[in-house]
Amino acid sequence: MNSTRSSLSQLDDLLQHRVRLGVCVLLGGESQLSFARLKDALQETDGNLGSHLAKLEQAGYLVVRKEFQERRPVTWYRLSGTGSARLHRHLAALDAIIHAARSARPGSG
Amino acid sequence: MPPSDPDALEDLAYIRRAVERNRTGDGDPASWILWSVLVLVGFPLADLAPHSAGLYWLIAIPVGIAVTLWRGARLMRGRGKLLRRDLLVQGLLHWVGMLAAVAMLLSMVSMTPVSRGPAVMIIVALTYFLYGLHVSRRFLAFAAIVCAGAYGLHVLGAWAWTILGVVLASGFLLTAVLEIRRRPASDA
Repeated sequence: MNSTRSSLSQLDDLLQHRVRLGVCVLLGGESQLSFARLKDALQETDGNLGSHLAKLEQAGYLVVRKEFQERRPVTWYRLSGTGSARLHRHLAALDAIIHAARSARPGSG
Repeated sequence: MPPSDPDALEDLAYIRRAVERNRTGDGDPASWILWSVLVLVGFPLADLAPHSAGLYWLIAIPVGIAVTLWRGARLMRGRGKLLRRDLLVQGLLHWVGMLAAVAMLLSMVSMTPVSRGPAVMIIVALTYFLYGLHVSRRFLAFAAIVCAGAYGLHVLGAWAWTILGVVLASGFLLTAVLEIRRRPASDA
């Protein structure tokens, strides 16, 4: 129980929302992803995704870069050092909670 | 957030689907076709003009790798993905290692011309296998083809290289067709 409480306290408030967690998980595996790529993967609207990305950027989890590709503006996102550290801590906490829940099940030995 | 909570499970499924969507449609059909052509020309050379085959591959392999990497990077950029440098290097090192191993084998080990072919193909098969484990699963199938080809070179006589080349090139072409079907609409 104490370890579960401790893990719960390690969960990141910003990453509790699945869109923001999804963004960080996707960026954790790549160098950079464009807005369009993130939108396609997460199947979110421009407005909804944009607001979540803005929150992550404001909190310092993302680094944003804009450029032009064939005269079209493209916005690239990557995880900052802070974002990467927070993501790993959040995932480790989730892992610990799931492990504790499984261990607490009757007959789990 | 207990694991049996339906919202939590749906959130995890949402993220899993996003990760899967991000993984699909990353192939380059043109590169598969390029390698299909290079193999279809180069493998029969070993049967028809063995003295030219070495020079052919000395040029074809670096050019093929350079074109594949350049196209791959350009294509991914167009699809909104910049690959991690460490993953790019990891992939490239497989092929560099293969070329180094083949060069060392041919220069340091005394072999008959008949043994050389299967020995080189075993190294190629091993490289495909390791690339399949570390980078792209489809290379495991090609590893099996090349491994069978190495055995074929060992037991068959005439036209063994041509047969292996046709089988391998067909596999590459089939992969190109599958990639074209999986290609995102934005590529069109």
